[in-house]
Amino acid sequence: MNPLRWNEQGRMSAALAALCASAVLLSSPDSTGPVSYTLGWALLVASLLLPLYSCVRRS
Amino acid sequence: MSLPMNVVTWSGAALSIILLVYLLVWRRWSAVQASAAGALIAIVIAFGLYGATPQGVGVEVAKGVWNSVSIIAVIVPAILIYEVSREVGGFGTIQRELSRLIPDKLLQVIALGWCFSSFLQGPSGFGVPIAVTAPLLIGIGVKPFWAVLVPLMAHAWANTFGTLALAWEALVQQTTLIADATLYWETAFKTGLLTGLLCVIAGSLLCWQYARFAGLRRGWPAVLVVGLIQAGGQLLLTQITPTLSVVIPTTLALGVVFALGRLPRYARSYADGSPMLVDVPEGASDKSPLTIHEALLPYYILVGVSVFVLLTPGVNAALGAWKMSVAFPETSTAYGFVNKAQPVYGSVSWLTHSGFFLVLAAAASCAYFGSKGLIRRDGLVRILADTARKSVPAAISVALLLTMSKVMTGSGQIEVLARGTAGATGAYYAALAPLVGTLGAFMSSSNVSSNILFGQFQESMAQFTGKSVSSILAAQTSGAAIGTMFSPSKVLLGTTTAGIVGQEGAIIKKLLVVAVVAAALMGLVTALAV
Repeated sequence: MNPLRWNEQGRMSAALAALCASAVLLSSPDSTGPVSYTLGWALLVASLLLPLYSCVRRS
Repeated sequence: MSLPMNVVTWSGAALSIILLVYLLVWRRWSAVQASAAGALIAIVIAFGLYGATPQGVGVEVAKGVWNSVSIIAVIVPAILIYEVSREVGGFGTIQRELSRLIPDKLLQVIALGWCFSSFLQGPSGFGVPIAVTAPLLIGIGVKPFWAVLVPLMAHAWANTFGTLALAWEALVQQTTLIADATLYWETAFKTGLLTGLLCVIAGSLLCWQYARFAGLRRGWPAVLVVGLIQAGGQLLLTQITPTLSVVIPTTLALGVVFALGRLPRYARSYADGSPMLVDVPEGASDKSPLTIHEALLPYYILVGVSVFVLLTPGVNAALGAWKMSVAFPETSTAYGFVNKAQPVYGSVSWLTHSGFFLVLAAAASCAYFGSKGLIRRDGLVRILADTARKSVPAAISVALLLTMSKVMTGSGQIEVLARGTAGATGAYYAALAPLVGTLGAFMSSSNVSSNILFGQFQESMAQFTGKSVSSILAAQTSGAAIGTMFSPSKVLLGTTTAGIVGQEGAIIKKLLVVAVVAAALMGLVTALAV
């Protein structure tokens, strides 16, 4: 289940899913619990870093 | 406390955009990677220089993702239509029949790349003209790179009054145009002039890119006639019914361009030496059993349903009644930059949305070709798998780009960028007014969003600098039309349906020059007019 070992298509799908999930969790900070809210930020960071992983690996 | 306006904050705001363009154009990163880097930097700058709170940034990320849904809803079915047409050999038939009706290659490119893409912008928009026209151009033998670039450049003029004048209405709603009839018609006229100028420039450039001076010599009668109908017709109709000022002239121009194909001048094929064309077009060995009407079936359904629904008030109102929106709370930065609560944000009427029309067209075509035995079970699986494979990179890129755009807007970065530029230029602001519109559309991929973002600001700037409000507002929306030409999301739409994902940077690089020259020319005209 390590997305870094997936191929590029898999990583992009994971990034898209993570971004969508983070948008749902971050959309209403007042009604989202602290654990879910933290998870939202973790997913957002993952969705930003996953597409950049290929560049890091290439260089 | 107010938003800090200094060199550091201005440079910080510019950094994400410069980085995005640099990575795409010069480092040749894919749109996904460049947009991820751009969004990351925009978030870091929002926290570091603009006093953004985690709550504020989180809400803007959610807004960006929601905004991207309506664009992704166009991308996926547009790719589906492309895959359906490819499976049944539709592009080969179109190439064969178009060559018969219009023997001249340049006129074929003008007909599809300029006239048909502009025609599609009339009732639809949201990237449909690029997503649909790029594969058609490939089908007639245009290289994929040019098949994406040509419609992007050639239909941009139709963005303000296209989509039934949605962007124009957005400008009207944001400014005093809504309350001042004289100003309304004056601005509409000036916008018609500026976007009409863009239309003629695009047509001429298309001929130039086709075969330099030889292309211009061969294409000038078509450019003159089509340009006169599209730009002149739009200008006339802005004074009668702005809503239809793209739909009517582009429909007329599409008919006329086929009539031009009968002229002796365009009666024989002229293709030799054009860098735009491949040696052996896709349809050269075409054995497709389809008739031209069957090959064009998805596009007939698309245009027919769009025009029927959008121009029949009763149907439009009934289908448009079902809307979907999201509510967002108020947020503010440490500097007091407030984003008001939005109880109804980004309302989308899905049943009158272009994506829905595309889904209908794809489903109906699939059913028809299935009933004729042209699509079997394994073919359908192939179509769906290829659609999914191509949709994911486009979807994530669009979502990240709009996330970046919303974070920049919500933290005040775009405000600082625009006000800083305006403040530095002072009396010469009129010359730069189109560039502000261009910036808004480049970031948001939308003429509408640029007008919502900067309409009021441009009006304030016109009053502050004592310039003509109508000229500055016309420059805003016309500049925004230019911005849609090379906005990464729009380019990505084309590269996805053309099957050349990864070449976005090269296309943006080429269009950047066109856009900057067009915006400078518009700025000069505006500066002389105010």
